[in-house]
Amino acid sequence: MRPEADLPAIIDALPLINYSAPCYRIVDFATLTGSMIPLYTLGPGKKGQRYTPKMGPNALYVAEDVVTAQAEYHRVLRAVLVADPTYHVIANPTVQLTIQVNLERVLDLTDKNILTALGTTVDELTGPWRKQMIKKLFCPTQVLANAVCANGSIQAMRYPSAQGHDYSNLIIWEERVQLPSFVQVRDTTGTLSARIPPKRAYRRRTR
Amino acid sequence: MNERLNVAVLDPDACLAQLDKTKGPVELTLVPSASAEDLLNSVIVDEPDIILLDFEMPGISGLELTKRLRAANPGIPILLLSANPDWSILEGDPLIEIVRSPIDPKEVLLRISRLIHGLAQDEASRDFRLPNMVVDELRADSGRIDAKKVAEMFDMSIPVLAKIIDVGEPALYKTPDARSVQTKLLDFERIAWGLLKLTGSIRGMRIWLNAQNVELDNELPINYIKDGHVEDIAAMVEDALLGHPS
Repeated sequence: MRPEADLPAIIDALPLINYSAPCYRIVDFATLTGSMIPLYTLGPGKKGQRYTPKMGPNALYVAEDVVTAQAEYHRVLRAVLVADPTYHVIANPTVQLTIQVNLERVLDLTDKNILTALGTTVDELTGPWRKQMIKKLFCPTQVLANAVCANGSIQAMRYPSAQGHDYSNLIIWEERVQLPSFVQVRDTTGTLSARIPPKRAYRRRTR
Repeated sequence: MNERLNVAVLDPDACLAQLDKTKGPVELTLVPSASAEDLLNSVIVDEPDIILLDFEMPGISGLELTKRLRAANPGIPILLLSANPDWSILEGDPLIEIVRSPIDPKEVLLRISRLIHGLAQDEASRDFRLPNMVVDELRADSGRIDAKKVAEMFDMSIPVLAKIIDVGEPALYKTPDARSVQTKLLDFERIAWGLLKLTGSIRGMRIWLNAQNVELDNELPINYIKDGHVEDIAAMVEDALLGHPS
């Protein structure tokens, strides 16, 4: 990673992409139905995430495809099975959320030219971050995210998943998503309907 | 409507008597016997669906009675209630389940359902209980989280737990469910809850806690807990429960 002080100028010069695709999250059924907030954006800043330091901005993390979403959800189970392949899994119910993402200014960290410009690598971006956060060590992904977020116009970053280099995820900063950009749960039943920015209540026109 | 089962039981106490009023995956009709001999006769004559026995009974041991019942009817399922069961002697019998007393009526119904439907033959399901049942076991009669039960579930000693939550050992032994330690013990409950849902059992939870973890640079989560980072590990587990892309 380039020195923190150099990042703003480098980021300003980087190309951004349009992004329009369905993305995914697999969530524990009881946890989701307990809150019924499918697009919850306060968690990352509260607990810290790979691209969100504690006390960081509201953000939503999504996986780019169903396979990645499954891999992200089952990472605990995968660690158990690596440690003991004879373990017999007893799985609990989950919900697969499909989230339509339409954004205009996304920084693509899966683009090798962008990684080169930032002086980083896929290994650095997918390396352990939680230990760094807990032990208050240098955490390159959070430093990079701070600089990108400070840019002021970038709405999201597409980044390689730690669950496999062929997988990609997105971090979306809630306050940057303004119409015509939007992030919306696809649910024909309306049970899980949610959108960023939120839909305004219908107002009757008055004279 | 749930399946209704006839349960032969020897001299049911007040706790067992409430089983036929508890809702669960099966419904029970208790058929009490006054003595061990009556129970043996009942097993041959009435052919109940299952036998419920207390391991510690006056006059005859649960083990001895189990052997005689098994000889009288080799195919009948038996559920044993015991505070301190001798597992080794009964291991390998797929028609025997042991429930630790004091009993949770709902758990007894679940275990009876398993036994009747042949699930007890599956070794992997031996420790199957719903996550909320297991987490409920962390709580004392007061409704507060019990440090001794937390230590047992996380396979650590009371002195180690006392050090983690920064409480004196004597105080923790004396009042393991003290109000003053509840906030710190709540993070343990969060970890247990999440891992039970993600892995399905206490065994799975312990494997994860003691396995190298890539998010922690291949260090063990249990060592982070012992270093006092309980809240961080709870957050890590909850992130997985929420499928948080990493």
